Amino acid sequence: MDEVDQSVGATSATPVLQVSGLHRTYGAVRAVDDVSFALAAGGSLGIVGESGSGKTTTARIIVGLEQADTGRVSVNGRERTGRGRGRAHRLARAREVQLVFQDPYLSLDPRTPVGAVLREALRLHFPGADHTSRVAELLDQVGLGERSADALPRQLSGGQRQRVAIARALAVEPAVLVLDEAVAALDVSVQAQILNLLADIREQTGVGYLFITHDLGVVRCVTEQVIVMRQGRIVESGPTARVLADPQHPYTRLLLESVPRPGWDPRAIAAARRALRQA
Amino acid sequence: MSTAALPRRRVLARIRTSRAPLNLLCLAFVALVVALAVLAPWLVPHDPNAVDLGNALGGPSADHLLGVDASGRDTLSRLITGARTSLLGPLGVVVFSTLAGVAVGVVSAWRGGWLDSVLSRGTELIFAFPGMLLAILVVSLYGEGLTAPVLALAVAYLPYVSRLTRSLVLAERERPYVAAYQVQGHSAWQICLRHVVPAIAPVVLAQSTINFGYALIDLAGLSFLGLGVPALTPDWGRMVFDGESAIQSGYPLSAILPCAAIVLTVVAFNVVGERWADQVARRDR
Repeated sequence: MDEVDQSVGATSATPVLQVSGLHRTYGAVRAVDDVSFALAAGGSLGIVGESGSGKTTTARIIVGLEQADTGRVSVNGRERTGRGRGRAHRLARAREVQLVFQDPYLSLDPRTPVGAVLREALRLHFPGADHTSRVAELLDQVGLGERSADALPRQLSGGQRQRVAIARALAVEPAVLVLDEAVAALDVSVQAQILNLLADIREQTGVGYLFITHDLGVVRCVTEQVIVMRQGRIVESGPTARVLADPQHPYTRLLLESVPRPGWDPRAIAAARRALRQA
Repeated sequence: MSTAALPRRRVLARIRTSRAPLNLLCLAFVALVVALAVLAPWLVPHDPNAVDLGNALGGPSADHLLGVDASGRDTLSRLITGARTSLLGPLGVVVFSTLAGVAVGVVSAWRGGWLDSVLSRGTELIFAFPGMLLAILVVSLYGEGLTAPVLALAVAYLPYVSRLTRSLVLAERERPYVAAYQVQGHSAWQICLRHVVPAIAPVVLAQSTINFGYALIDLAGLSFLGLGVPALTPDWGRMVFDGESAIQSGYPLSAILPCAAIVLTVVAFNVVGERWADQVARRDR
């Protein structure tokens, strides 16, 4: 527990997203327990952990869908934790952080065509402009043809829907994009396409990524920094390459060993898991 | 489509399965009744209130196609003119109860907390009170006229719509797309109006069409009791009441015809309404 590497917060660039001392309990369960980290501007930070480790709750607190019991979230130095009312406040918050959901089959309104989804977001945030060219630009940016603007979500594949969800998030021009298991519901070849797309978009727009995932392969692909969460707490953090190559915490080692591969022994992993729980 | 199922009567469901011809038939009947109601003043062969006592209880003839009632009034003319009040009343009940019920249901589901408790307990209180009794109470307070019983029945039907709406909205707002719109910065009001209400509309409208039938029966029942519709206004329920004496005299036509009109209209509206709601729910939009 005391191996938390403070260097995550202390990268040379100024942090665009700063999270400090987040706590959230549901009854007796500590879903998020003293979570702090920082995301450098234009950087990419992964949060890994298994189901129930508190990573999704952390993401929902950051985007504002849940309230933290204590702790601060600030974007570009402006605090975000306080619940504010009013249209201007709401729109400003939306432009700080956007979220791409896990399941593209559920995160789009089944009755709204793709073009209308994007226009809605643009009309809300940039009223009074003609959005036709911007819609085309966004569709192009996520690798969808202009023809798909008229399509309903049900007429698209899972990967295409996730592209729409990404385009919708980018339409707001956020400083930080939180991707909550954004490729977990897609099959492997589509995962790779979407991850490449996300890497390209970060290069073009300079948006910061917060990747919430259980998949260490995804973390290896697209993040520079990683934090490992277990039972609501950060157990290890640091540059992705170092954490994956030389994990310090037994839980991180366990996660790495849990990835199926040749010579993989699920029984040994189950035993290690039990040992960790008793430790 | 939503997971919530409508309370459907089995008999109607069975009729619906042999659908195409029946649906067309019902649609034609609804169109006919509505057209008759709208064009009544130009269609009626006689003044519906003109009394021709010499002809009282007369059977069908060339002059009076459907006979004459005990007071010597032309049954066909009264049927056609009666379609107006008989459809307008339930329409008012359905429009008011749907609008108010959806508003109450959406607000209580979305806001939750004490407001939900107040609204839900309030509508349950109305539920506990029979709609007919409420209507009779209001009529006895405000005298006859269509407005008072329509408003009373609308209040009585409101809980059916609001409870359905509340449960549908509760299910709908848990969907990730609603959270996605919240993250995008849309106000709760916009999300409700643009996405949640259209999503639940087909189910609510189907409930409302069923309510239309029940309201028609309730209002006809009120008229049959001699409440609500003023005595001289032609109305199907009122005609059944007036026809009682004719049945006793062995001339049932003037009472049976409005009965048949009520039953057929209720069934036709139910079949057409449910079919239409199904289509809305299935439609690619």
